[in-house]
Amino acid sequence: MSALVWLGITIAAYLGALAVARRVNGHPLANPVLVASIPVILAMLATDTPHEVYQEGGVWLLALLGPATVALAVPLFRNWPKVRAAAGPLFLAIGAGSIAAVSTALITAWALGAETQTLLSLAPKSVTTPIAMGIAQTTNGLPLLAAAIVIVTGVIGAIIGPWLLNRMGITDAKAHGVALGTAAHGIGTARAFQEDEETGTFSGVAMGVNGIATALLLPWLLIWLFG
Amino acid sequence: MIRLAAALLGGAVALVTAQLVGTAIMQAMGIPVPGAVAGLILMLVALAMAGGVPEGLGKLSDLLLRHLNLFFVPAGVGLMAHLGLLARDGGPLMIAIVVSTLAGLVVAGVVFMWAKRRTQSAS
Repeated sequence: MSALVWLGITIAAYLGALAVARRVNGHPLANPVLVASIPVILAMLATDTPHEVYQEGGVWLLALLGPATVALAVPLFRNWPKVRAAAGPLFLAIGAGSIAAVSTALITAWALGAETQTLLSLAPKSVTTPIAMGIAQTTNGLPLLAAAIVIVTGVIGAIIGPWLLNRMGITDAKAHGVALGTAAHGIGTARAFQEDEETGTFSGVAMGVNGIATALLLPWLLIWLFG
Repeated sequence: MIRLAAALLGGAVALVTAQLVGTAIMQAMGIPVPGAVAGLILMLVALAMAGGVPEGLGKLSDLLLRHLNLFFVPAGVGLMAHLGLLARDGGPLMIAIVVSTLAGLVVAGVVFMWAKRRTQSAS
C-alpha cells in the first residue's frame, strides 16, 4: 500500500519537475532528478518515513532502468550510419575522456588527503550505477558511497556539460552527446535526449562503451595502484 | 487501440527478454558487465538481423528514453538519505567530483572535435 503511495508521489514529483523544466525552457539547472527529489524528501521528512520504506516503491522505477538501457539499442540502430561514420573519433574521445575523469578524480582526492577506501569508491564515478557499485565491491571500496558519487557526478555533468561545451565553442550535437555519455552516464544521457535524438544516441553509445571498458579494465588498474 | 497495446506489450517483452538473456550470458561467462548493457548489444544485433524496428518496440523505447530521468529519481532520493556517506572525506570528495567531471566532459568534447576534423581533412 505505502509502496504504491510513494511510487505515485515520485511520479507526481517528476511530472512537476518536467513542468518546471518546461517553464524555464529546459534550462540545465532545472535537472529533473534534482528537482523531483526535493518534494519527495520533504514528504518523507514530513511523514517521518524511513528511506527503506520509500524504496519499496522506488525500486519499481529503478527496475525500469534495465529495460530503458536495452531501449538505447533503438535510437542506436536508427542512427547507425552516423555512429559508424564517426566511430574513430567516437572511440578516441570516449577513451580520452574516461582516462581524464578517472585520473583527475584520483589525483585530486589523493592530493587533498582522501582515504584509500574513498579513492576506490571514487574511481568508477563516470559509469552507470550498477557497474560502479560492482567495481567498488571487487576492489574493496564502498558500493553505497560509489553509488552516491555516481549520482552527484551525473547531476553535475548534466547541469554543467552543455553550458561548458558551448562556452568552449563546441556546439556539435555529436560532441555534446559523447561528452555527456562519457562523463555523466545515464543522467547525462537523459539530458542529451532532452536536446535531440542525435545527441542522445551518441551519449548512449558513449555511456555503453565507457561502462563496458571501465568494468573490464578499471579493477585491474585499481588493484595495481592500491593492491 | 488494442493493436497498439499489444504492440507495446510485445516491445516490453522484447526489452525484458534481452536484458534477462544478457544477464544470463554475462553470469555464465563471469564478465562483470550488467545484463542490461549486454542486452543492449543483443537487441542491436536482433534489430540489424530483422532489418527494422517493430512499431511497438520503437514507440515504447522512445517513451522510456524520453523519461529516462524518472528512473533516476529514487536514486536521487536515496542519495539524500545517505548524505552522511558523502561527509566521509567530504571536502576533497566534492572537489574531486567536480574537477574530474569537468575534465571528462572537456577532454571527451575536445578530442572528438579534433579527431573529427582530422578524419575529415584526411579524406
